[in-house]
Amino acid sequence: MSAAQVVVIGSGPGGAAIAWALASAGVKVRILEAGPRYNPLSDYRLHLPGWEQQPFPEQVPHRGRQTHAPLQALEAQWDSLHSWNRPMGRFARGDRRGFSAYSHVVGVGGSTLHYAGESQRLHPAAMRMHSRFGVAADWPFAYEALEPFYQEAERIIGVAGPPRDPTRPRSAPYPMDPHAMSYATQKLGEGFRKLGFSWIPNPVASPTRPYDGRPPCNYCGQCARGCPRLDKGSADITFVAKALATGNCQLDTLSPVLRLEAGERDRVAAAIYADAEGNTHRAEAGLFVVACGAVETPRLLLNSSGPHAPDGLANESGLVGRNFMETVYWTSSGLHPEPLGSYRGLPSDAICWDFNAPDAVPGVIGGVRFSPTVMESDLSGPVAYARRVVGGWGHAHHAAMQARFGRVLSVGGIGESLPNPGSFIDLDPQARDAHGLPRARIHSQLPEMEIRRIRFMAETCRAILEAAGAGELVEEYGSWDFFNSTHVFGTARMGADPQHSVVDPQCRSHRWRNLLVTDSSVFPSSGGGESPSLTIYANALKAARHLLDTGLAP
Amino acid sequence: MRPVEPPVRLSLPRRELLRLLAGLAAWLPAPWLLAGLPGTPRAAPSALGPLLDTLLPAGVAPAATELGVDTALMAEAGGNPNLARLLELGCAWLDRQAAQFAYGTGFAGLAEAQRVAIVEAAEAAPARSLPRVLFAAVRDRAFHHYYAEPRAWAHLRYPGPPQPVGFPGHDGPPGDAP
Repeated sequence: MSAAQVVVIGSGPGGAAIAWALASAGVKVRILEAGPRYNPLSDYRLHLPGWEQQPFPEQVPHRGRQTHAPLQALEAQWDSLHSWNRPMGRFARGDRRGFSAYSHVVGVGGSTLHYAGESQRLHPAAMRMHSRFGVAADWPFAYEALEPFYQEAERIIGVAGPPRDPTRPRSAPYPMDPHAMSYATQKLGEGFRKLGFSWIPNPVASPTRPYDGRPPCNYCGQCARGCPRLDKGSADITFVAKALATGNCQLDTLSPVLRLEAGERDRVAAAIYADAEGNTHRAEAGLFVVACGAVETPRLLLNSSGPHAPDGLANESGLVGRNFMETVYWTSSGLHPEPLGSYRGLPSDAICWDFNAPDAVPGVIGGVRFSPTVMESDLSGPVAYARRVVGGWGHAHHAAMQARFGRVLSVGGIGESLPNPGSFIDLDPQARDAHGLPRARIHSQLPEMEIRRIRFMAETCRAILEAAGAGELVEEYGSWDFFNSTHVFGTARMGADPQHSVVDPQCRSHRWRNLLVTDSSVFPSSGGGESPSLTIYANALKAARHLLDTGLAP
Repeated sequence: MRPVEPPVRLSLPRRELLRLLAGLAAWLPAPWLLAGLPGTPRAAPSALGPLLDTLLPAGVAPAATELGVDTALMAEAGGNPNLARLLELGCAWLDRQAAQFAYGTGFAGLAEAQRVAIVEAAEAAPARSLPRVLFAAVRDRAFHHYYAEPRAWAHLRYPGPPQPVGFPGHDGPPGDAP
């Protein structure tokens, strides 16, 4: 390939989508990805007897890549929100919130490699949080501006979804009909219906029929451990593969970008990256796109400070790293009296949107959604049942395993996360990575509004399980007593006003006009619990479209 | 949604384990603690297999040692000095408890009912005591290794592993499977 016109940093949904869109139009694109490329046919372990012993077989450990600041004290009034399970009791050891993980995958495809394929559009009202509710910030465009790019993303990754969604207008049907709900999900649905709640198929990037050279899903339930069949539409086998197939895209793996070199005339001159041997190189191009996720993107920008950008690259507003929004969630698991084989089926094959609008939860601003949480609970194999549901030992343990295996129902909620001054990403003053660069430090504060939202989710989940006949709880956990995030947002906010945003409505830095950010860092609001990947794809495609329409040169 | 990671703590943090081991110096024979850490144990303590078979006995399913759980656990301990030390000290404790039933026999020489009584005592011991920590850690690791063997699944009627067949018929009741 001839010299790259565009360097894209990161190959998760935000980087993959823009790389494909530009490469498909003849633009020469070079992707610099910090992690490896996984081979689904050889790297994933679901065919092995010991499949359950390991989560996603990551080659770059995600734990320890970032540090965290001390978290808040746990107040007794919220005691019902403790995480616990039967064999172990409460998880929290002290009286402060603990840090569990920022769970992400470093590799081609990013965290889509271990996601369940949920492909959800934002509720239009969730894009107007400030003007309607006085919180967060408005998106600088309406849902209608994003809609055609949602369509395009759904086509590329292959989404199977329900025929109707009254809250999210569509210009065309989903590419495929929805999946049949698993037997366990149907049982959960009985609970939802008893309470007067809706329960519809969840749109997922997993085929219900052969699609674009991919087979239909065979309902193994283990999307989180990597899909060896290449049916799940992760970014690596969809956007990245298609980008490479154009002949206009080069993919460099194991090439972490250490910093961006800010040059004269408000232009980024180069990306400095390391190879597998630790040698550094310069990648020059006319345009740079950063898509490392809402923790590592601000880290890269802050680590790129220099004479032209003393406070960090693109940080003229002071907002790089600010407005950090996290995963606010709850999950409850209970035992159903009937053998369900509840390890079967897609992990998140149904959804309740009844409380997803920003004003749908009484007394709380910011919505929530409810779905099966087979993946989040990971109570889908014998090891997990033994360790976390059944416990015991001896002959009684064997009998209890026989009686209980396959009977767990897991339901959970994910809700809006509102930005607050106590939640942000900065550079750790002491911790360094292997290249001597400051690690990102996560600051997380849960204001009372978030905790009340978690309580609503907990109370609703318990009621649903009771109504579904699975009121014998065995495990619960949520984000009140532990920071535990996969969906993260907000740290390079998108907006029209340079004083109150990092990038403009087209994801371009207000000052550094050859620099874009196209991941969830740019989200002005998180949404009411929607999985962000589809919106990340759509927003990146929209940014690419604008570039192609107006020219790459700023 | 991508998976969140349950904040499950399965063993004492290293600092706490070292404090536990140091605190045991008052009543354990000094050589147990003053000897250098062995690194990779050359052989499993004699009490380990019987302990595992007490936790997971033969019956509706194979015993733990029949599925090689002792070998797997010792391999794990080979890469985890804390676990190796815990097994060494904990199995020595089991052997000392055996004396209450049969002097000079050791845990491995006891009848099942006697082994069960000692394990029950370990389970009921104060939190952060050696027997309680041994019980919790060994049981957890035993489950981890035991249920990675398909012969442990037969009585569960679990038709795994998840691939390459998947679970056709997922939208109906399980057939012969639970």
